[in-house]
Amino acid sequence: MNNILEVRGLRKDYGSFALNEISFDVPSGYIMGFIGPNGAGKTTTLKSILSIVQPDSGSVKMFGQDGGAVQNEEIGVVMDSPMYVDDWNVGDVEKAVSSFYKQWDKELYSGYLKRFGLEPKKKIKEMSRGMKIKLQIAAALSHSARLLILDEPTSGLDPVARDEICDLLREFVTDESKSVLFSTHITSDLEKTADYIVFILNGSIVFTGAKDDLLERYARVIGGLQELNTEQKKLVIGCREHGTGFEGMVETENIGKLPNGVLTEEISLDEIIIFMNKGAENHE
Amino acid sequence: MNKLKSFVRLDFVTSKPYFTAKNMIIYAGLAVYMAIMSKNIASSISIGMMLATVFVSHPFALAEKSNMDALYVTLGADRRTVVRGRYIFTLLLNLCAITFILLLSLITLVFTRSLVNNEGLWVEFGAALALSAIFLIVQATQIPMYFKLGYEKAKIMSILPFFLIAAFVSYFVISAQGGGMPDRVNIYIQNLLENALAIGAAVIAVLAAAVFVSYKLSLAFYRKREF
Repeated sequence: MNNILEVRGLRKDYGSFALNEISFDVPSGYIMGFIGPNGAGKTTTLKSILSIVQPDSGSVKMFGQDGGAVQNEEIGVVMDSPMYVDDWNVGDVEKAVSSFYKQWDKELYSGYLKRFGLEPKKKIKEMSRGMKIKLQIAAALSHSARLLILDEPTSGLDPVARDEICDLLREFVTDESKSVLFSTHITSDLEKTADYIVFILNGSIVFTGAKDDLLERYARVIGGLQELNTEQKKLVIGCREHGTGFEGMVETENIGKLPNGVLTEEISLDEIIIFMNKGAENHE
Repeated sequence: MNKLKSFVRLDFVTSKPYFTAKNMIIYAGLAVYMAIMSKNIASSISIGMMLATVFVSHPFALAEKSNMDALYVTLGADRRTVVRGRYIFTLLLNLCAITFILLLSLITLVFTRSLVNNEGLWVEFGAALALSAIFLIVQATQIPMYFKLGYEKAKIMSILPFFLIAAFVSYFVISAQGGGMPDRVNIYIQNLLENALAIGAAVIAVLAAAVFVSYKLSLAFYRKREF
């Protein structure tokens, strides 16, 4: 399997927060979800990959080539808020960015505008958040990009708009030479679209691999307070005790070490993030 | 080179919301008014250059507001291209402002029959160019501040060059009028004034040095910025 993006040992220290040896690959032809709670380092990692911030060390390989400099022709970027002047209209966006791309396709751009219902004279400041995201996607898809990097594109959007964007991403990777790296904390979007997951917590990668592997690696566990001994309690990640019992997450390989009375069930990405985060807090 | 051209074009598109017909009419009206009232070109030029100086700050202000410095990176414009492009944009903006105001003032003075004779006109051109040079030096001082601190943080500090130049000119004029200028300086100035070519060369040399230092500082500052 070819990798479109290879990130190795990325470090960035801000004093109060640091990215710690971030390494992962984005395989060609797939959607990779980048998850983690707020402040975990998702945006900093994406900015480091794009050279918007300069990492202290580490390397980024894109399309098999070394060097962190953005190969803009082949990358489409969508940030959580558009990097366009509020007074620009849709036409101004094209005037501003098109000349940077050799392969800018005017008709394709117009096609996306029509498909997204974006009027050419509409100003950025008059657009809803969903429209702004769609405008960025239209620009990102109009120059034959092979890698789409999106930072929280669906946060703050209604379910219909989110579904539309997820559909678009799935459509994008039907061409196997293209990939998507998609950061979000709305994991339901990734459950529908992502093939692979990178999970970041407190600046460190805690999982990278196939989404199904992540979901199979852990299970939700529920039981009575008296059912676990001290050793068994250590196996429960992010254990939350309440009046009648406890809940938490265990690695599936450890299920056999728990007493028969506890209930284990499938876990969602959301719950993995919550229990992992709580587990990290409990260790501090 | 293509990226540089694209970047200069991007700066013009960025500033487009300010290049409105209404704004242009107001600026043109102001320049015509100054030409009529003062009956010379230099006053209009100072208005034009003042406005150009304000316009130069617009891409910095808008880029900061919309996080466009990150956009430049995603468009593949490296730091050097951004800095070079911004200086070229500034140069073009000043050339446009000077040409526009100069033509407007000349037409106004011809229509109002206030145009001075040939020799006087050259003196006025000289004064206009000297004023333009002063404003260009102000801009050359401001731009590295914007690149280092960003527009919002540098906004107050960027007024400083105006005060320094005003203070210097006031000191110069008062000293010259009151005879307080050292003899050696007086002689030097007299020699310069008698030699228009030397003045021109000195102005160009100072300007070129100011722009060169300004560019180098801007590049060094911008290379360290993160967005």
